[in-house]
Amino acid sequence: MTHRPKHILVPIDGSAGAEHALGVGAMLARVTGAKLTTLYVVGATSAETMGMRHMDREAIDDHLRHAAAPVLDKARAALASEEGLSATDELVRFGDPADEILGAVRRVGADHVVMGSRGQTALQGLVMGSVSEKVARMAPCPVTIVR
Amino acid sequence: MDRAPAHILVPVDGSDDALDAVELAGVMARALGADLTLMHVVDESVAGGAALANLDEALRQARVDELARPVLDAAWARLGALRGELVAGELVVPGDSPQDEIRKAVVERGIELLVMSHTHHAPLTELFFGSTSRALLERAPCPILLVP
Repeated sequence: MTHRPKHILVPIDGSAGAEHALGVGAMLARVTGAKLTTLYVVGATSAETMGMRHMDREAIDDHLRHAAAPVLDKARAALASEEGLSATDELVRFGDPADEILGAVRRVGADHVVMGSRGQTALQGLVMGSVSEKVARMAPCPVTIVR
Repeated sequence: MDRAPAHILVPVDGSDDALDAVELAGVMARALGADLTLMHVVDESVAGGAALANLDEALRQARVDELARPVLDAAWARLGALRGELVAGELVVPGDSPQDEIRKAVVERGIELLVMSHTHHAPLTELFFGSTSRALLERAPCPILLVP
């Protein structure tokens, strides 16, 4: 473990904490020259997934993209104002946020995660930082948690 | 945080996990151009308890430093050659709650990034997995980088 980050993953969900995390992630990426990938997980219990059961794969992808658009647009706009970022990418996944974040870390080979301490939903707020805690506990790489 | 953190704090507790955090903190400090402070909270209850509290201030400080020395020396050793490339210092604080002392240090010293193992122990509560880092996370005084 002697590297500086080369690929930073920032899970976003439209919350203030995630917005702050994106700022910290962008700063780290700028200073280290790392690639920055944003990830939006459409929660498995989210209202946005209602009625998806009868869709085919393509329709589901469209649906997810549509559900994710406002959050991704906002993140893209925030990153556009950051100068000196070498490369950025974005991902949309569907499922349990912590599992999908951990899966994305492995899939894209991220070596650093920056995320807010609390997520968007009321339920996550009650279970204090359960997503960030699970990710920090199980991720194979360093995880930076911001308020 | 629009700019890089200027001051990074890494608490050490004598565990190997904490040394992993020291190494990453050193790498990050160099990459970000930040100052680095190594911190050790000497647990007063383990370090002589009432006997320690009854010593006069100079003796007490000497005893605290003596207890902290091996822990901090191990941390410096882990930094190795990196040490020469950093503005780095150390902080030794007696106390019975690492999380309170760490939180206090973050505020008082304007720390902008805390680096620690997610298994950082609190004395006597080691059964609780990473209880110190967990407690700090719940009322985070600044961004916390958790090292696997």
